[in-house]
Amino acid sequence: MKILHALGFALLAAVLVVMPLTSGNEYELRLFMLFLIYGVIAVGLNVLVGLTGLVSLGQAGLFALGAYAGAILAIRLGLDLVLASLGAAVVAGLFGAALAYPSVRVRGVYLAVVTIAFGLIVENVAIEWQSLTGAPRDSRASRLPTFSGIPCRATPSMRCSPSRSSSSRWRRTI
Amino acid sequence: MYPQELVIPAVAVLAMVGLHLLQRRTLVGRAMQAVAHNRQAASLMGIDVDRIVMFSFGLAALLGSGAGVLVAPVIQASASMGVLLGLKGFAVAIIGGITSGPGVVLVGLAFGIMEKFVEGYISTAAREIVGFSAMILVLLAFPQGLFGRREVFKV
Repeated sequence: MKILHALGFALLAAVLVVMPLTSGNEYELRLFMLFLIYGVIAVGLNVLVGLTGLVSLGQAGLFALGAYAGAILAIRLGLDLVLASLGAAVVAGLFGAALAYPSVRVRGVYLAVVTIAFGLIVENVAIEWQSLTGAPRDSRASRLPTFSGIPCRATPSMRCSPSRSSSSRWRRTI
Repeated sequence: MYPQELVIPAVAVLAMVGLHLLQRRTLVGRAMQAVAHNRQAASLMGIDVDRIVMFSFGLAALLGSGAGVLVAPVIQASASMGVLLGLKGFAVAIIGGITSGPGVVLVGLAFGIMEKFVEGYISTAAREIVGFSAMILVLLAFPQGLFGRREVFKV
């Protein structure tokens, strides 16, 4: 079993290395990134449902919280992408911890409904609080986020590179 | 105000009274309670558990579709119209305490009135925020709902 785990991680690492080097276009890269992002959500869900048996249907709400927190930190406050990601994780984590208080007092289908309700609350707050979040589905930003000091260019995949000519394939994955 | 809006409270009261009578007075209603309480014991007492479960599902579908028929002319009909309504129904049932029929009805009325006030004075998106936040807050203070009895678990 341990060997299988190590093998799995080695395989993942190999895929992570090979994928950016061999992808033909940005669409493929974008697809791969989305796959990894949803993988992270699945891991988070696995912690809750798989390890503790708490059925959470509001994971999308926490996902949205993290996404909005990251974007707001990076664009409004001009934080570096790495810092913004960490901040987003902290914010979403704090909300998750707060959600735990009502959730652990109920069980079964009540818990599922509480988590769905949390997702709905996040969705509607994002719609309603436009001065903070911007209009729903509005991807325009007043300022571009930076990755280790390098501003990201506003391509569909938001790559961070010093300039077009020197953009390496590595940078593109970010 | 359309005539069918007047039908809604009438049907609601009829359904509530009918369900109450079914539960208390008829054999099948009592069998349903028995199955809900303890499946195994009910089947040992000669109740056909599968049949009762089938009947319960059918009855739930009947009531659900009846509610759909009543509500479709009032709000717009669409494929996913039931999701939010169903969820709100659940939220109300949880606030009221799922074991207490009158409590759920009372909370449902209060919930609807509150929603309309929030909708009118703030906005439609705030309606959802306030409603579901209220549910979570109630659960924090009363895990069994406002009118529900504490569940007793025998181990």
